[in-house]
Amino acid sequence: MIVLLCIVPLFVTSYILRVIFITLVFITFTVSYNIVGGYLGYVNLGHGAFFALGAYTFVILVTKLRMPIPPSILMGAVVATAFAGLVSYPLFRLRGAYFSIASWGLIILLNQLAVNLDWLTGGVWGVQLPIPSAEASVPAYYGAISIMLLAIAVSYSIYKAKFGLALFGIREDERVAANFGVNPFKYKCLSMMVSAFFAGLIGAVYIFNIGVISPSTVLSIDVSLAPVVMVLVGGVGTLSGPVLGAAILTIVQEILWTKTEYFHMLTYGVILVLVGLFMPGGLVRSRKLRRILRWKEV
Amino acid sequence: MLPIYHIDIMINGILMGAIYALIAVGLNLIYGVSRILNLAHGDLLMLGGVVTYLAYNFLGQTPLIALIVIIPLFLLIGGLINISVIKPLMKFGPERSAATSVIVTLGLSFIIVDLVLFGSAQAGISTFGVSYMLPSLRILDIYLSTVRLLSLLSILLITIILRLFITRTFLGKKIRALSQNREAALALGVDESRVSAITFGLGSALAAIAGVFIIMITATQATIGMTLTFKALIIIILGGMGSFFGAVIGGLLLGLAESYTMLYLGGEWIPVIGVIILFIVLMIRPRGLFGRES
Repeated sequence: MIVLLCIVPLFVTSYILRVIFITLVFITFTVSYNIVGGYLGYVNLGHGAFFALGAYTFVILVTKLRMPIPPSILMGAVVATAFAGLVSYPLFRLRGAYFSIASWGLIILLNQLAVNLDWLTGGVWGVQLPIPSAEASVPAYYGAISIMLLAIAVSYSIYKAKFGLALFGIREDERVAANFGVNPFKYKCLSMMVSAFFAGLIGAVYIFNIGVISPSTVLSIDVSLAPVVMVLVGGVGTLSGPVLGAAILTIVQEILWTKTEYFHMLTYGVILVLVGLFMPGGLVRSRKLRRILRWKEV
Repeated sequence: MLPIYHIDIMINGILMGAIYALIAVGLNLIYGVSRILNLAHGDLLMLGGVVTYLAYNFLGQTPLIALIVIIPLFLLIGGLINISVIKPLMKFGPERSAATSVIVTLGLSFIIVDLVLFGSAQAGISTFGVSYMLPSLRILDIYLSTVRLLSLLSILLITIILRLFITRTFLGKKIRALSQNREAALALGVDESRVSAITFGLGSALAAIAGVFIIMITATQATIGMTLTFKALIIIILGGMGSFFGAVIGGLLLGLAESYTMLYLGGEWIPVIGVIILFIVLMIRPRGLFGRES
């Protein structure tokens, strides 16, 4: 499968390549979200802020400071991670839905900053990268593959290790977990930083390929809340759930949304409500589906 | 700046603050009774504004008259939302349902916003405004906006009525009972799902009322819902979770802060000041000013 992904660029049109690229980006984005949203159980509506931060940092470094690409991408991840660490302090004073709404504030904040600090960010109109898109797409593609694999690997190792166990414990019952020696804040903060790292990383790579950044491309509602929906559809807190959900939804999006420009949010909304009410575990956990496919849950 | 000019800013701030307080109180009510934070709350506000807009532009009704229609309408809508969408959630138990409620109410929010977006795109409008004018009052040397003063008075009246409702009527006491101690209230025979549905309607109606006033003051778009829900959250945290009085004070404070920010920094920074206030409160006094159940 991985080998397949690697040789793909040689055969397909640039359009299909971009679609696959976007799928990879969203898979990484969703997997990173899952660490906090799924493993830890805190629905972080502001996850998109990390993605956007990575993207904007990358753009600012490349255009204003003329830094080369790879370190800029890394810096995008670093800035996002630092931001996550910083923001953990106030945010994790809240729980549950309060946390979710407050985390949405991050997006509001970044959106406002991106628009207001236009000397830095290009304001509403954004910034165009001085890299021709054709040149960027292949390296970005391979970058995306490697980052996605790395993210999945990290997600897997968290899942299996004590770290993941701590997160699950916090998710199920925070006080009990604390009684068992889990320092809640440490794990919450760390998990947020890890998830932010990958979000920022892939955000930078995404923009590297797209070539243009503006608040409406990286801070819009459908980008910011995409991982939440995708994880929900695929299976919250599982390993393969986010991958599945992201892959399915990105492809569905590509097909549906190019047909009509309306009702994007509506579709998300309906999916959210239906899945929330009837299938809160997601596709991966659905027993009927598993019986059909005879698939073991991971 | 002469103090006289400050009066205008202060009135604006207090008015916005009062509107915010309405939103916050509504959200707080719903949360207190059902432990669900309705992420679509702000969107209900937006809907209230839209209804007012339609009533004003197509039926020629003044916004304040529109209130008479809006209140029962949204009581109904809120109750329906509760019954159809929230109640099935409660089956999962209070823990699970809290997490899923975020998802479901978020979905609801999307649906509402997109429908309005679609509708407004079809009609060719992108923002709604109701320019309802009354002759200005003149006190000393300042011209005060009559509309704003009327709005302020109306909100004050509504708040007083609400307060009386919650403290004096039986239903109000049931609401408070559920908020303070769910098990005890249930043990005493309070019908949780009924009160929950009614409270949802009440909270939604409050949000819609706020929407009526907001649309008179500024132009609104379909997307302001989430931002306003967020501001309601800021107020609830600032004032203290579960405190009616705290929500009111918090709302006024936020409104004033925004008004002064507009004066000194410019309107674009208004959302930022809200976020900053939120983070400061969370870091310094997460309990809020008057935290604890009311």
